[in-house]
Amino acid sequence: MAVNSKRNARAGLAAFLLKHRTGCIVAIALLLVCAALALLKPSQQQLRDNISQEFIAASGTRYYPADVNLLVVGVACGRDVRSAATETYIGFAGRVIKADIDRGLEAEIKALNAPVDRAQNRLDAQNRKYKETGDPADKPTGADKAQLKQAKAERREALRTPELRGKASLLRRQSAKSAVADIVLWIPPLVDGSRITISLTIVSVIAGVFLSVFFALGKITKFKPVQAFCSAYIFFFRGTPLLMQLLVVYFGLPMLDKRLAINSAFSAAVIAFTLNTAAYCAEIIRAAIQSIDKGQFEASHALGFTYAQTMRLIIIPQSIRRLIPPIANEFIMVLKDASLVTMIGLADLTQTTFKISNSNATMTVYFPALVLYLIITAFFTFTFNRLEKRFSIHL
Amino acid sequence: MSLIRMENIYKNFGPLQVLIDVSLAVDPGEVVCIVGPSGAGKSTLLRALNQLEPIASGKIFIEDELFLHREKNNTVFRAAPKEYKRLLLEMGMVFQSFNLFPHKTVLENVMLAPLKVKKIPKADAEAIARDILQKVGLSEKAGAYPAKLSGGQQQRVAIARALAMEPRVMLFDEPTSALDPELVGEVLGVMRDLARSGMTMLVVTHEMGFAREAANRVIFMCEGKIAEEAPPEKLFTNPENPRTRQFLNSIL
Repeated sequence: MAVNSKRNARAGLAAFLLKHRTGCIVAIALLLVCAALALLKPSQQQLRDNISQEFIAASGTRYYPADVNLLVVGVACGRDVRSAATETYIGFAGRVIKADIDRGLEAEIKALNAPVDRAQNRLDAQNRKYKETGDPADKPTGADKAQLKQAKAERREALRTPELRGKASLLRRQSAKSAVADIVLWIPPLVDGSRITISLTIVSVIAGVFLSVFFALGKITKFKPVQAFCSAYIFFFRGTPLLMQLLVVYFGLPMLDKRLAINSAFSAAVIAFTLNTAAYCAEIIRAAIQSIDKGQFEASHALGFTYAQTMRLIIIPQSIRRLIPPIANEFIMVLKDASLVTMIGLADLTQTTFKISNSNATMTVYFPALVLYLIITAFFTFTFNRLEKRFSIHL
Repeated sequence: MSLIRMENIYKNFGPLQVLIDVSLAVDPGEVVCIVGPSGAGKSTLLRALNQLEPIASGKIFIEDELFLHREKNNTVFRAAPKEYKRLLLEMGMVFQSFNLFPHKTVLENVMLAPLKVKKIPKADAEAIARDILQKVGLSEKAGAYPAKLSGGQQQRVAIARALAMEPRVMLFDEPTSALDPELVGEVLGVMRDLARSGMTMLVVTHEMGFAREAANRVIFMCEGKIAEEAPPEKLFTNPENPRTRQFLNSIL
């Protein structure tokens, strides 16, 4: 009996998992990401506690430990990595904070590099002078070289202070798991970028679908001028590249007339995407409406419904179920096409990835970015599947 | 006084003449069956009556009131919108393919039109709907969706849906043609009850048994014309028109 119930429970669980497999996969993926974040958090916490306080104090910034870590990487390794560090920083936190952090970083690096630079300059000057005069007396002496050597040694030594060594060892430990750690460090800015991607997609698709209902009905109507207008609209927006439409809305309209300027890149993107989605969805909706059996119109007519009532009560509710798969498709297309906003300088997921990749000279960042895209798509696919099921209860 | 009168109806699909000078009158309480070979224009006649197909020319009277008059594909007269709708709703239509609203439950299917077209209160509409569903023997299916019903049950719901608008005449367009043979009986049973209750009915059908038993008058249509019109006992046993005889011989 007990065995039986246990087996039943197991069978029930298996059935449940099988039934909700997409949900389970998404949940497991999210759990893994969270676990990775949680696992790697202590070391970050330590890093912050140990090393970032003075940097935060010096630079007056209040940003992720990730940013601070990278600054320290530059300093603690004792190389002149000013430009790399600065760029890395841009890659992470965006253009806004660049000026702030430069001051703290440059002071630190200048202080460490000054003696070496001085010795190097003296040696270079001596070399130049010797080349000009050819006088053996002007030949750089061993002392000059020794001086440079010593300055470098001192810099190295300075980096070996317990304080800096602590930082360095932490950094080494960090770099041991660098691949994963890097990815974890990149997640916050990537998530930030995907927020733009997602909100742009959701807003444009909802607005686009709303707009497209009118174009679809306009295309079905027998009133010729409306039909012609709707057909022309759909023809234009389906027949030209979305990127071009985006550029025209953002850069072209202001040239046409100053009053048409859209100052926010996000708004411009929403407008372009909405207009484009409306054209595609209009065709989807028209097809869905026309796929409804003619008998439904006839029955509605015989029962005395007006055209508007027929559409609202009978036809459109039935088309919704048929609409969901192609609209979901369109949604995911828009989600991916949203990467085009990179062209008008909007920091979406793609642009963030691109920037991080450029400033760190790494391709690795593309993997978490792709996974993030997949997670977003999986989530929305799952949602649309649920929606479709909900609208299929009558079948 | 006749409930429905059609005079000199012509209808063509392109070059094909489907109805040629058809005139027909149905009195209140009368059950008229229209039989004939396929392509004879039986369904088109019903659909023309219910405004699902525009006629080319002819006059349609409902309750002795001119409803529509067309000549050569132009409307000469059409009842004022409000009157037009009222007269249109005096006719309830039952289709061959049921045409239930698949996204609504049985109860919603039946009460939707009274609720939205007649705008009667929801509680009343529901009471009427439940009452009619009971009459067609489907009370227990009120909450089901059409897809879960058999063809016969669906057609009974469709009849209930048409009845809920309280029409004075019911038009049946081959109501049993799409059904499995064993489901035909239940639909015919409902129609028989309806005929017995005094409903005026105009039925296009291939069910000769039903026509013989329930009809007051049987019309035989052939090639777009009414070839013969007689009480069932006469038409089925002693038809005058050779074409009728030929048709009956071929199916009986």
